[in-house]
Amino acid sequence: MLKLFEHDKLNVHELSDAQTAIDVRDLNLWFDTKHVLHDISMRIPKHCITSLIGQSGCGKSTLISSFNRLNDLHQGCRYTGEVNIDGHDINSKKQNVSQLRTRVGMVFQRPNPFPLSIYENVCYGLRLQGVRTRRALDDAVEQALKDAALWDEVKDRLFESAHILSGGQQQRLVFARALALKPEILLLDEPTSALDPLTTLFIEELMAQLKSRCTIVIVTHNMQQAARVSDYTAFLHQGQLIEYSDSDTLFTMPDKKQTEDYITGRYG
Amino acid sequence: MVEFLRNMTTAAQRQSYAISLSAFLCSMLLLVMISILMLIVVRGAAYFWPEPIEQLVYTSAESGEQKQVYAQTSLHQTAPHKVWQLQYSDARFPFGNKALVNADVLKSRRNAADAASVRLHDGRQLFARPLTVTMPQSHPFSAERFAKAQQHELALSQQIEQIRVQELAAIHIKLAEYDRRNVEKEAPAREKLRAQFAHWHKKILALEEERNAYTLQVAFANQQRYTLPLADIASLEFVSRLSWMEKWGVAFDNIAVFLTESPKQANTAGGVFPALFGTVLMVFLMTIIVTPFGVLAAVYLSEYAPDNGFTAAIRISVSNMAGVPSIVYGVFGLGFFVYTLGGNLDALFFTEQLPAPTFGTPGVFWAALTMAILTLPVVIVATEEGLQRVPDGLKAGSYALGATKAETIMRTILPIASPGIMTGVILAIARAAGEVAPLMLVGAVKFAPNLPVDGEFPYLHLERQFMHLGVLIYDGAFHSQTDAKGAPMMFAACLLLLAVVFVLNIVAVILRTRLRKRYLVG
Ligand SMILES: Nc1ncnc2c1ncn2[C@@H]1O[C@H](COP(=O)(O)OP(=O)(O)OP(=O)(O)O)[C@@H](O)[C@H]1O
Ligand SMILES: [Mg+2]
Repeated sequence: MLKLFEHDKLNVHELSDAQTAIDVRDLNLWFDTKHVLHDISMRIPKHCITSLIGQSGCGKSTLISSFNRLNDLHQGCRYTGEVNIDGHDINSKKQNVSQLRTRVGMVFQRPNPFPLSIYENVCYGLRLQGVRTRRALDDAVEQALKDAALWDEVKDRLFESAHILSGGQQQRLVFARALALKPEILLLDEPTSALDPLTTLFIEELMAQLKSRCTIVIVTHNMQQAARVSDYTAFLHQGQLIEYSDSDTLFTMPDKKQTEDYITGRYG
Repeated sequence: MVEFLRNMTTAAQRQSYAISLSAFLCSMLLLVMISILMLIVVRGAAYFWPEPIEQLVYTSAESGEQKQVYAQTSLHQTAPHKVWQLQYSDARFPFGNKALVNADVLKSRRNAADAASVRLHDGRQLFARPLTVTMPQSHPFSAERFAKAQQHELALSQQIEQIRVQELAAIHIKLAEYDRRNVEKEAPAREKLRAQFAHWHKKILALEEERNAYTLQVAFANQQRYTLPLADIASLEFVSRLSWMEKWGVAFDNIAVFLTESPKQANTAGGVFPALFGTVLMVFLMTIIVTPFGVLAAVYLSEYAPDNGFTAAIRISVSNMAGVPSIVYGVFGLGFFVYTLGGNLDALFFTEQLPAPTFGTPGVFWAALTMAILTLPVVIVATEEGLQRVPDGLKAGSYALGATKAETIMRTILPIASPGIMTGVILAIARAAGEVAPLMLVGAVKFAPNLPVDGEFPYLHLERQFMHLGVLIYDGAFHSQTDAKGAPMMFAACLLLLAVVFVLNIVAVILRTRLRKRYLVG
């Protein structure tokens, strides 16, 4: 019902470079000695929603975090292989990580607004970019909050603490914070798992609208949600990419036995 | 024994015993704390409250004669029999003596409404009945006459002071200049100055003689007379005649004097302003020094340092440093800061003053620096705790928006950790304000002629020695071992020190609460 844009589904295994937003090649990742990602190779198409599903602990968050090098925060994280965005390998030494993260936004499972005002939360990234003029900031804040469908609810109390907002509002504020930087790619790590069904629906609608502007990668445990919102779905199991195709195919006639077991809930 | 207890009691009983025991110990602790506080508050407040003067007749224990005195009395002990402590004045001890008098030798005791407490500028005090005011003719005492005589005397004193400051000081400066330029002893310019000096000096002597004619005659309880120069008298108060309200007025005056004036009579009378000022200044300087150092060190330890054994060792030594006896820091401050650092500073920048040291001697800056080192571990540990409480989700959120590590620390981690930092600063302030021993080695003195801040360039004299409330109390306690004169002042100073620490703490706690509210994470 929410699939407003009915694409002709591309074959994810035969994407051209122009159609690819993220090109992952032979990605292996270790935390200390623990091998978390095994030889992941996949191409994530532009201006689509791609969801990652899989059991808890299979490495979804780790995979999505390797698209903006957030795994670097953990000591003892090592990786090999390439992650190409716009034809550049972001894993290379020359990559400016801060700049990469402004192009690849991320929203986490739990809303994590800074203990600042609503306005300052949205400005955070822009101020880091050196945007100083009041007008530019005002406009960007308004636009970002409108994009996140939060503007009407907070426009009268922009300078109050972000903590007065409800959980769902906070999550949309975090969306607005990421959108203020106009990212090419938006990474969503279980963005709705802490929210009620209605707010979840709201955010799903938001994603559908954002699709025209950026590529979205979403991690979710909710199979219906993956089927509902995403164009493509990848199934991970114990750090391996088991199956990756358009959502309709994956959920209706999965190729692999493991996938079928998982989506029908036969895994423990 | 343990076995026996276990067999004899049920689990519920054992638990209730444990609870009662811990509650008992807790209440003991509370009791001790309350008694300390009560003692200090009561004895300290007594210093300010005007006690009525009484006329007492008793048989002296030393001579066996009957004595009649004006005195302030306080109960010294009640058991096994009542003993009064008297602070009295008589012809032998006009400015007060102490005596213990058994209740059974006390013949009579009544309020002495006609006796006054006369306080001198140097802090001494005398109880007597004013008889006549000489100005220079003698008149029977009355409050108006006394006030008038005081006015005249004050005018004379001001004249003398003016001549001293304006004329004599100028001559002294010129003479000193001639000395420096090696002008001959018999040069005419010198002769002229000398003549001028003689002229003004004679004038002063004349004025002083005139002033000395202003006196107050008083009588002690046994009718012996005594004469006081009016110039010495600071105040005269008929304490026994005061109403409740007037007593409060006097008490507030006393508090004001205590807070704003310098100590007199070797720190047993007068005020404590220099010590109060010195304490606050030292604590302030220490806070300025210790906060950035402590915070930066904690940031490095918890955010940048690799998570290995070496860091862990550093962390452990930092927390152990908090337990090093403070006198060790004092010795370190003296040996390293004062002699080594200060000595080298002198050799580099103040060569013209040598061999007289400028920074190579104990002073307020070295004291602040020593206290900063002493309190550094407290600040580091508290800050680290604050830093550790910053949720990882927020840090990740900041990084995900393109912030570098430094930006994340500045914009997210430090503000959220600021209540923790404040906690460290509070602890540091309380510790520094209360230390005595190390301070005495690195700059705190019993009496300092000048404040570290004055109107002379560069206004803040970091190399000067300073007075400190704790040192004052220590000094008072030493005095009171031999005679009880300094004791009341010591208690008053204790009360003030408590008040200072309390106020500093309250300020810091309010600030912390605000920060907590502002940077609430949840
Ligand atoms: N910082 C870390 N240090 C060591 N091991 C880690 C770290 N982060 C994750 N892991 C391990 O990596 C594996 C994958 O973790 P990840 O968080 O990617 O799982 P996930 O698929 O996102 O699970 P969930 O659905 O529960 O969020 C897990 O086994 C986890 O124990
Ligand atoms: Mg996860």
